[in-house]
Amino acid sequence: MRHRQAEQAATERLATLTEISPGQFELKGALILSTVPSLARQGARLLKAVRTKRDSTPLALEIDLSGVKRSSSAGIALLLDWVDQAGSDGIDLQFRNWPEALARIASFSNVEGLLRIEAAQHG
Amino acid sequence: MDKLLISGGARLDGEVRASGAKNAALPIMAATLLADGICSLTNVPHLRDITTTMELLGRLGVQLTVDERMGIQADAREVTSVEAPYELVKTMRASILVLGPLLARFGAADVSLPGGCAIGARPVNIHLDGLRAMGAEVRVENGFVHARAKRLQGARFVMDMVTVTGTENLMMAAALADGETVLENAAREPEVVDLAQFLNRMGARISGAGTDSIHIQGVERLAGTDYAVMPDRIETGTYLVAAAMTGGRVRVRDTRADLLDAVLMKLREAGAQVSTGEGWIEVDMQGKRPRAVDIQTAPHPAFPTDMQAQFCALNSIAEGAATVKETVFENRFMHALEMQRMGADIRIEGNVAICRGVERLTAAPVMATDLRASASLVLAGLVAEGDTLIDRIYHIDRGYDNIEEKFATLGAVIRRVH
Repeated sequence: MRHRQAEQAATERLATLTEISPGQFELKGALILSTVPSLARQGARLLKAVRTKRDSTPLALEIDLSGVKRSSSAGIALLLDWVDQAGSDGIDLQFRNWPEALARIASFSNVEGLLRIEAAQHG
Repeated sequence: MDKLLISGGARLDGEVRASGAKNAALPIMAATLLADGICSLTNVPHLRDITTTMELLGRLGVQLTVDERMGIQADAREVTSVEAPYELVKTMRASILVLGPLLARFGAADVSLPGGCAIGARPVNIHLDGLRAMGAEVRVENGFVHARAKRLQGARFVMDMVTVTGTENLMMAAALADGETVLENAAREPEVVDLAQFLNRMGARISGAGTDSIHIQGVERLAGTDYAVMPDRIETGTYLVAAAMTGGRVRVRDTRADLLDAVLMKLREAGAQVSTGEGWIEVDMQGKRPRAVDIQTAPHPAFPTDMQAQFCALNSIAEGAATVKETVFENRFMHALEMQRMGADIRIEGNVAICRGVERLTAAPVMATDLRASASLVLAGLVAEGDTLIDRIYHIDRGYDNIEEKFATLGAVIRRVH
C-alpha cells in the first residue's frame, strides 16, 4: 500500500497540471502512459472545481502545453478525454503552445481537427 | 479531394530519407498479436493503412501507444476479441494478416473477407488451405473466415502459387505450432525476410526466409521485442528514378542497396551513375537524358512489379525505345493511358508496353488509378512542360509517406491542393 502511494507520488512529480491564473492552466512534464492516470485524476478534479465555481470561473479554459517534455499517444488520448468532458459541461477547452512532437503524434492519429491544433498554432 | 500540382522542369538535387516499408510494417504489426510481452516498433511509415491496422489491433484489445519518434508500442497480453470486422477489413485487404496470429495464439479467429474477394480466389484460399494443413478447422460463412484449432500442428505445405501475404500468414501461424512446418514455394520478398527476423527476435525458430523453402520450428511462446522496420525499397527506387528522369542527383539515405539490385542494374543501363554506401544509394544523371531500358517484371529477386510503372515513365522521355513486360499482375498498364495524354508514345500489346521516348512530355490533368500508377504520373509531371494536376491522389497517399514534402526537399515544384 505504502509502496503504491510512493509510486503514485513519484508519477505525479513527473507530470503536473496547475492553475496559473483563472481559466489558465499549464501542463508540465511527461505526457506518457505511466503519467496519464494521475493527470486524468488531476484533470477530473479541475473540471469538477470549474463546474462547482461556475459563477466566478470563465467558461473558456486554456491549457499551456509548452512544459510538456515527453509525450506519447496516451497523452493525446488524455487531451481528447478532457475536451470531451469539458464539452459535456459546456466548457470551451483549448490547448496552446503545442510541442512539435506532441502535435506530430496528434497528426499521426488524425485528430488535429478534434484538438484544434491548427487554430491554436495560427491563432 | 486532394490533388497534386506539379510544375515540371526542375532538376532534382539533394538528399531524402527512405521511410519504413509499409509492406513489412503491416505483417510485423499483425505479428505483435503473437507476443505475450510489449513489442516496440520503429521506422513505421506514417500512412493510412498503418493507422487502420492500429485501429484493428486496438479493437482486438491490443494496447497501443505512439511515441514522439512515431515508434509504436503494442501490448497484446490482454486481447479481448478475435474478430476482425468487415468495416475495417474492407478498407485494407492486408487485414487478413491477423488470421494466422490470432488462430495460433488464441485458438480462434473470425476475420471478415474483404469486399470483392470471392472465396475461391486463389490467394485467400492458400492462407486457408495452409491453416487446414496445420490442423485447423476453417469455415467461410457470411463473409467471414472462422478458424479454430486447439493448437496448430506443424506440417509441410506446398503453396501452389507464390503469395507474399500467404507466406507471411502461415509463417506467423507456424511460429506457435507444435512441431516443424515447412512452407514450400514460399515468397522470397525482403518483406518476408524482415517478418522472419522480427519473429526470430521474439523467440521464433525460422530458417530459410528469403528462399522458396521456409522451415519453422514451432515454440511454446513468443516474447515482446524491439524492432526497426526495413526501409521501403519501392519508395527508394521511385526517388532514384526521379533523379534519372530529371537529369539530377538524388541520394536516398536510411535505405539498403541490397534490396534493389535489379532496379539499380536498370538505372545503370539507363546511363545513371549509381553509387552506394552504408545505408544510402545515390543516382547522379549529370544532366544527361536517360536511355530506354527493357524491363520484365517477376517475383523477387527479379525486377519488382511495383517499379514497372516508374520505369515506363522513365522510358517515355528516354532516348530510344524499349519494352516493358508485366508478368506478375494483369491490367497493370493503366498509367500508360494517362501518360499518353501527356504526350508519351506508349503502345500496349497484351502484357507488354512498347515505349518510344519523346523529347518532352506536356502537362495535362491526369487521374491516379492505383498506387504505383500514381507514382509514375508524379514522375511524368516532374519532367512535363507546364503544370500537371494529378487527381485521386489518395492512391499515392496509401504508399508514399509525405511525397510532396520529400520531392520539394529535392527541388521539385510540387504542392498539394484541395
